[in-house]
Amino acid sequence: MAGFRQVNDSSTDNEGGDAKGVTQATTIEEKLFTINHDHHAETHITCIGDDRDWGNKAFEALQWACPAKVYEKGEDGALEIGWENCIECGTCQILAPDHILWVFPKGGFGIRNAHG
Amino acid sequence: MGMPAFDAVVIGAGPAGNAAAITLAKGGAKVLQVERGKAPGEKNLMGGVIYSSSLSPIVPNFWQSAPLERPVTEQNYWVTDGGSVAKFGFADSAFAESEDGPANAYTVLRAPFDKWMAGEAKKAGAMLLPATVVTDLLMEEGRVVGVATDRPNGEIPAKIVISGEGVNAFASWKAGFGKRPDPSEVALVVKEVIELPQGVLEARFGVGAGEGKTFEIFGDITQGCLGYAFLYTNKNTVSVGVGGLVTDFADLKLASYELLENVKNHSVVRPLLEGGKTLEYGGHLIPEGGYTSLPPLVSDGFLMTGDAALMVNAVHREGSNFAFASGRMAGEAALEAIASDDLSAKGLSGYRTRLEDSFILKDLKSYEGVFPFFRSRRDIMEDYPAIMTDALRSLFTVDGTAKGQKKKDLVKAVFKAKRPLALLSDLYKMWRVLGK
Repeated sequence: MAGFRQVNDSSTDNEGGDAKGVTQATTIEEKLFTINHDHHAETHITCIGDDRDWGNKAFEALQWACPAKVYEKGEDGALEIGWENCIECGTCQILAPDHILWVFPKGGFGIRNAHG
Repeated sequence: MGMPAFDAVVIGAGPAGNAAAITLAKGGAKVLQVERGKAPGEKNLMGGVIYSSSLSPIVPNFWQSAPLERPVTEQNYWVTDGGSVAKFGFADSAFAESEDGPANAYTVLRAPFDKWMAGEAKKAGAMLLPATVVTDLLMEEGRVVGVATDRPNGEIPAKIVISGEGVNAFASWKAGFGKRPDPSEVALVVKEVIELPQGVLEARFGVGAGEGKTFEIFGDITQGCLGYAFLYTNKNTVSVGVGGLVTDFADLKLASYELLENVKNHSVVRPLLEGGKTLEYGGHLIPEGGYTSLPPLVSDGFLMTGDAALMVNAVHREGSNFAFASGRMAGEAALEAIASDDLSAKGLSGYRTRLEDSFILKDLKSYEGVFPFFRSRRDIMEDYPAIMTDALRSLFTVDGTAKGQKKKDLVKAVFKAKRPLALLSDLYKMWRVLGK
């Protein structure tokens, strides 16, 4: 499962070489860390069918488009779904409705925006 | 089935759902609002700007109690290309708040704003069922007669259901009203709310306490995405974001959050945010299908409003005003249907009439061709910023060339970038789609 990186781990290069980002939230892990969640015990994102092979073009598209880095290639070369990262935008079900079943988290669970 | 306990169930407590619930409750109807967040606003996000003309009819004097950030007293449009930026802006003292009334528009943060507006619905007498997902519509002989929820025994009968579900209108789609939009008609926006000391923010942006600015930034700052970056000043935060079509990111091999980081660190943006603290990151979809993709707006026992009904004018970053106005109109039409005891599409047809007579369907219709045009002609968003900045650079560079010669060179350079016929044809087409 994709975990959060330490805040001081600046592994994302900015344009302009080693210049630090303009705020403390530079990497996606740091950005996701700013969002409040109440996670339900169960995932709200499932793969439709058994084909989780990373060679599937749809998964690569999700890796680029998903703004919360939910869709990653696992160590076994298969799709790994880090659903705890989800910010509930719905991009995945628009892009890959035949491969990903994305529903709202159970009522009252999931993200809790303080600002929005 | 006996008489339903509720005249109307409203799905969602965003701008559309709240507008509908307030209108219905003020009209004396028994309304239940179903919201999937633990509290209204927690699931919601936009840029964002609201417009007083659409909110005033729903909550008169809203500006005295709503959690507004800043009046929008100046709107700016920037175009970046390489190391250049062309800036165009408009400020008007009439845009400010006065003793007589509200400002033209305000920046808001949706979590506190939606919570406030749902509170207005409650004050008017609407009931709120939070932490509940509407999973389907209850149907009887083709009529909508209530909603199914994710609660045990969670079926809720109602005379009329109004969908203010937002862009992911799963319950409506499942019941056959509208459908999942095509990826080519959906934009993804990512955003951060960045905190600055109020004095620093006001000095950097050149705004006083009762003033605010918006900036929409086009050109190569989006790195090829069909969209724009934005900066909106709040009280002591800045909303900064960028959008593109959901398909752009894989096509360009560019992660949405890395694009946002590049926008934050772009030379025209970074000095404004330096030293700030990101309070919250988020992302949201915008349905841009518009007029040609509209779902059925009026059905037996059922009305669709706001983003669920694709009511967005992406070109003018308008959406909240469509949501407020369509929610209010749905509420008004539902009151008429309840009064006349005709819950059919015919009894609810006042909704369609109101939409047609207002800016909502008029604007959606006149902007019908704009989005497909820019989607098919992405070169316009890439070529013209360069032509414009090249021309302005040449004009403002003092290098000993006589002005008359400069003007000749400029025209030559423009026609070198675009042949005269292509330029004329582009201008004509842009005028056709934008000038309607």
